[in-house]
Amino acid sequence: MARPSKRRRQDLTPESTPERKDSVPVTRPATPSVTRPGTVPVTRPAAPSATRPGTVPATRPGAPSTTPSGAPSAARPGIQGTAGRTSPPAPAPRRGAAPPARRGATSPGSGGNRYRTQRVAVPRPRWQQPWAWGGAVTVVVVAVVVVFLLVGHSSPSKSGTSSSANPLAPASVLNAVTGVSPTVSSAIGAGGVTDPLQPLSGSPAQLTGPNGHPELFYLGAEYCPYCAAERWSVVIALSRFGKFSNLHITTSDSNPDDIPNTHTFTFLGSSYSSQYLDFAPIESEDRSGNPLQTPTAAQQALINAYDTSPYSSTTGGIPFQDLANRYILSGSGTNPEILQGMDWQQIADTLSSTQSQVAQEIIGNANWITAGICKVTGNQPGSVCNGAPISTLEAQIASS
Amino acid sequence: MNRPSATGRTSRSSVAELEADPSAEQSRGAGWGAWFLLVVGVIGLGISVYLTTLHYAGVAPLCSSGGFVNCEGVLKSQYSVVPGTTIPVTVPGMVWFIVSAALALVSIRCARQGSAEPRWLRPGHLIWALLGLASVLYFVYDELVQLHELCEWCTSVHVLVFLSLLVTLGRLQSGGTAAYEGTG
Repeated sequence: MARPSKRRRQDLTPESTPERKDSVPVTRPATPSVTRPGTVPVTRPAAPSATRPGTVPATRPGAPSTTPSGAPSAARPGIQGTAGRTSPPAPAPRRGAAPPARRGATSPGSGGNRYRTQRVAVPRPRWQQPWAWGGAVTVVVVAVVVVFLLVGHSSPSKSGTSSSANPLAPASVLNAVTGVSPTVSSAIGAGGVTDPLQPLSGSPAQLTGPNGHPELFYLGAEYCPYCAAERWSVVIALSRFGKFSNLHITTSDSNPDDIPNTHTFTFLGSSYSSQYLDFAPIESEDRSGNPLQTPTAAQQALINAYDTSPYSSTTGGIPFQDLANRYILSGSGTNPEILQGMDWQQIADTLSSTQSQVAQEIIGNANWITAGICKVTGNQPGSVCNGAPISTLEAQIASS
Repeated sequence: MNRPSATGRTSRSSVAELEADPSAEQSRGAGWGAWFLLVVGVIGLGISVYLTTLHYAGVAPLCSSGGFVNCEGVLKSQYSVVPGTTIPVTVPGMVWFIVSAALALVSIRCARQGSAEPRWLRPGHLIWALLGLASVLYFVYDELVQLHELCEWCTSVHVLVFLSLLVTLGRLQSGGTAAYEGTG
């Protein structure tokens, strides 16, 4: 390393101080930091102007490579070539580090802190993560649905007491009575059944149910074989306007002098839901004659008024039905004798045949009941009331 | 707390987050969430229109009948209309999906225009989705507890509402709730 030549002080003028070869003169004061937006400025020490790439500041042998205070050897203004002096050279600036400015040295932003406020994302705690809230909502909703399933599985019927003595109707039987083919229904038509709908005279106020719909009131008993036969048609007809739930099966009484053990449904413990019609069934006694349900005072008034001549051949006879105070149906449109010896599934299986007498009577009777319901619901729904054979039967219903 | 390391980079957050502004982040892109909500709204509206049309036409929908899955039975029940009216529940459903899709469209439009979303948009959409979920739980209760039957069309609509809730919740959480602090 070349040693600086000795010069007398008075010769050290800017003009007389030559640049030494291999020396790196400090010619500029500390440069102001040029900041880019978003970056952290670093106040650079007086950067030596490298005259050749790769040159390093000249140091005296044995001299420390950094100044004792880490301060740059800032040149005093007006003096050039101070690298030739024995002052310690400027240390290589550390990246990212801002060495403290020397006293008196020009430093950028010396009037205040130049660090910009920097936004740094702080990681969210777990409970604030989007998946945490979504997962919690999902768990809650699934739990609620499971509760609904469990409650629905164990819930008793919506109306009346649970008919625990009688089993629930098998799904295959229900499917048959609720899914009678429109083609079969149309082909059967009235099925040879006489119009069972007797129009009420005097135009009494419409009988409406708790949901504000026209109501079909039914009075029967589980022991009654004619009630047993009539229920097949009622279930078929009402299933076209709504839905039964919790429908149980039973048989009529086993009295050999009667028509014994007619396989049927019971309306005890069932519920019916429809947006067109309300259904109010009363099963007064079980198949052994024990009391079950009692008509309300209003229902008893209907029975007293209409379950008698001229509408009924037997006062207080069953089955008795009042359709919205427009029509009375007294007795059964299906002869229970044709159901003898048949169980529920066998009866249900016949409903897909147009040739079966059982199907003709049950479905024919159901078509009449359907036509009467269409009369009181204003032909709603159209899919039921506007097609054959219902529209045809409607036209044949006697008017008061 | 993140501080710039010796290399000048944060160890855990991206540069985009460093330079991000919460309100600007919402407006920079609607993201897949808004598009998803729009698609869900359109699909749900389509199903609601279909069921409403069938209701007034008196035609049975294309679905199974009989057994536990019996949409015809459910759609004929008293729970298929707004209580006290003859208006099918599919009509309020149509309104719900229209509003949900409209809110998603607002988000997409703001993103395309490069403007910030209204501050009420995401919270409002979440509240709307919560209202939808409350209705869904009511209908599911009717199906499972009262009718003991399920309706496929209804269940598909319920799922769409539930998914909308999850996405609106996620959008609210991701839009401007990250914590920021300055280092000086």
